[in-house]
Order: sequence, then C-alpha cells, then structure tokens
Amino acid sequence: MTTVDHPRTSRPYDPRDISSKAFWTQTAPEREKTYAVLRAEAPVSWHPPVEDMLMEDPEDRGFWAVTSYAHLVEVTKRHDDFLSGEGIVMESMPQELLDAGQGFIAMDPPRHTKIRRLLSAAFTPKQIARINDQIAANARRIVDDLAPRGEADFVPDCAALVPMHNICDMMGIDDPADRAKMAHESQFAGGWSDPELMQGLDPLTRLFEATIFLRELAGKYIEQRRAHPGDDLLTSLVQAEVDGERLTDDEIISFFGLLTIAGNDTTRQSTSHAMKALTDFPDQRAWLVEDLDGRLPSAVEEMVRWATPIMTFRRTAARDCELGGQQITQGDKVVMFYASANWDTEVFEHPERFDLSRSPNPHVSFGGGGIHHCLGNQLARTQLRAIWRELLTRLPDIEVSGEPSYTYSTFFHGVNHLPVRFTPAG
Amino acid sequence: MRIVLDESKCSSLGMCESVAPDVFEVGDDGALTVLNPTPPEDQRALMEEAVAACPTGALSIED
Repeated sequence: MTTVDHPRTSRPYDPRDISSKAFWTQTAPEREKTYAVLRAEAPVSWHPPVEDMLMEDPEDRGFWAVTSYAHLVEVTKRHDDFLSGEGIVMESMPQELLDAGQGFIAMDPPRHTKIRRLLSAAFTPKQIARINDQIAANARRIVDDLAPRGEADFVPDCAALVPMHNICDMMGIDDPADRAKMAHESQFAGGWSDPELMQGLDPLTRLFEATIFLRELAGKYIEQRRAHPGDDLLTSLVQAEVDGERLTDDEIISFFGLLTIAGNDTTRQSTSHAMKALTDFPDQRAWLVEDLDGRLPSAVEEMVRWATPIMTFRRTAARDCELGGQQITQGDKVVMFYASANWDTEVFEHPERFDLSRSPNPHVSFGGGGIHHCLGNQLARTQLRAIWRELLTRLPDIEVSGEPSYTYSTFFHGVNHLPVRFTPAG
Repeated sequence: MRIVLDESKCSSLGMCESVAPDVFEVGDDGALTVLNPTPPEDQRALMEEAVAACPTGALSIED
C-alpha cells in the first residue's frame, strides 16, 4: 500500500523567515527587507505556521504569503477561490471567537452581500457628511484636554480617543465608562501576543474574557434600543430585516464586535504612526501646514499607506487553483501582506519616503478592491483629517519626544506608547 | 455615454458618490442608484474619475 502525501505536508517551505517571533518583533522597516526579497523572487511563497499561535492546531501546515501588490489585489478580487468564512487572521482560532469578533468580514456571498448592504447605509458619503460636525467636535474636545499638558502619551491620550468617541457616537454607546472599557478590550482582538498588553495572562483566556465583555455590553445596548429606539447604528441593526427576517442577537453582537475592533484599532494606529512620521519628516510637515485644508486629503492617504494598520488578512482556498504560478490546494491558508504591497516598487516610487503629496496613491490599506473593501474608509479619512487639522493648528510644535513601543502582533501594526511634547496651549 | 452598474460587484462604498454626487447615490437602504445613467458628454472626465474610484470595479462606461 502506498500513501500519497497531501501537498500541504510535503511542499517545501520558502527559506525566507516570516513566521518566527523574531521576524514579527522587528520594526516595519526591518520586515520590509525580507518582503522586498520575497516580492522580487517569490511573490507567492509557502511558509511554516507562525510561532506563538493562539491555540495548538496540528492540522496547520503553514500558509501562502502573498507579498506583491498585483497578487494581493488578485486574491482580493477572486473571492470565489479565496474564502473569508473560515477566518481572516493568520492563526487558527476557536469558532466562538470567530463568530463573536469577525462578523460579516468573515462571511462569503451571498450572505455577506446582504448584510454588508445593510450596514453600508451607516457609512455612505451622505451619512459621513451628516456626522462630520460631530467628528470635528470630538477632535476639538480631545485636543482641549491635551493642550494644557505640554506632554502626553499620544496613543492613549489622543490617538485611541478619536475612533473611540466617533464609533461609540455612531453606535449609540453613551456611557463614558462603557466607551473606555470597550476601546480597551478591542485591543485584545489582534494584540493577544503582545506581552505588555497581556501582562502575563493566557492569551486565549484573556481573549475569551474580552469577547464576553463585548457580548454583554452589546446585549445591554441591544435591549435598550429595542425598548427605546434611537437614530444610531445599533437601532438600525435591531430593526433591520434580511430576507424578511430580523437579525439574531448573535448576529448583531458579531457586527458590534467587528465595528469595535475594526473601528477602534485601525484609526488609532494610523493616527499614531502619522505622529511619528510627521516628526521624522519635518519637510513633509512644513509642506502640509502651508495649506492644511487643501493638502490634508492627499496627506491622509499617505498616512494610511505609511501606517498600514492591518498588516495581514487571510483567505482559505475554496478549491485547487493557481496563483502567481504556484499550485494552491483546497483548504490552504492564503495570507495577504498589506505592508509589503504598500511598499511594492512596481507601484510606488520611493515607497520608503513619507510623501504627503504622493499622487496617485493606490495604497491597499483599505483593501485591494474586493468585496470586503473597508466599509469605514470614508469615516477613517474624515476622522484623520479632523484630528490633524485640530492638532497641527493648535499644537503646531507637537513632536515625538521618546522611543515608541510597538505591539507584537502578526495582525495589527500597533503602537502601544508614543511620548510627545508640545508648547502648552490654553 | 452610458454608466453601467454591475450590482453583483457593488459594495455600496460610495466612492463614486464622493466624486460625482449628482450622478451616484447610495440610499439609506444601502443600495447604489445611478441617478443619471446618461450624463452629458462634458462630464466624461468626472465620470471616468468616478469609475476609476470604484475599488470593486462595479462601474463602467459604455458609448
């Protein structure tokens, strides 16, 4: 009797390391050195499972790394071949966590199409324009609190507060204590491997705790909105029907989790990385403030490219198929490396330059143009414009004053701490 | 010039609406409506910009 090995068990691994803790604890420019080699020599390459997995998964034999811009866009658009329903992070996760935190981001058509359309009503250009004043007011209040201090930890004292207030306003989370706890708990969704965040706790246990908190909080507000409808997103979800049926509490909770995570961590990251870049590239900052309102739109695109707040998303092959000359087999994990695509010299001239006037700037930080393209992209852009207009006008000399500390994660490009100083203002 | 919408690709992101709000509108039900499928020729550059802005490739121009 002969046994034929499954391709996943016999396929040779690419020698370039992008799986180890050593790789993921490097800085972004250090990781880029490896990506550059992969893009040039093996833009679709097979790698061993990442170290420090959230849970043991003996079935996990590795993943395909998609590092070039062109192949990343291709994977994004081939949503029939590369599915999201089995999870969208590199690591294998217990199903309960997938269900609670990933919502429609981890769904495939046709259900994805219907649910997404339902939510997209809250993110249309008109709707974002309607809440534009509220977003500006939140930015003003954040800088009001920051201005007299002269120094601060930019991440918790500014960057984290921007999306926290805006997302909570949209969802109708009005209790300040709930807002703060919610923003804090959302970090565990992608930061479970970070030692500072975890404080020695077991990642899986802590992640379950965060999930339980978000479920309970969502449950409380869902009940309130059923009894007292408002004009917020949660009320629309409670009242919405898909195919003639109301959404279940579990489904609503799952969107709540997704919006909390996707909404809080990404904008926090982009704002923080932008603060660092504006300090490191003073010429760019000078160019921006010469015509702040006119230049902020293009500047925000470059901030988002530079930050690439989500570094990886995963798909799972629905069938045997080809990608970039590689034979993919059904069930293979296919991981898109957004930071690498955003540095692809086939598309970006001098990607290592923080160039606020970059045009065109077809970065993939909001996605490569597939059906899962970031729903909140307009919201994110509006928030970034609002906070930078406020900061650069009122605290014109704000700058990074010490070493940042970064999150250890294969998913979030996170900044934990970023000391800043500025001339105090009234 | 005719604007063609492929509803199977449209994710209702509204990038087209932010470029040309007179021609495209994502309604409160989350569905995109092409308000004016046959815009005048002098809007061609704007329409091309709107079509190019669509990240999911749901829009095209037919002559």
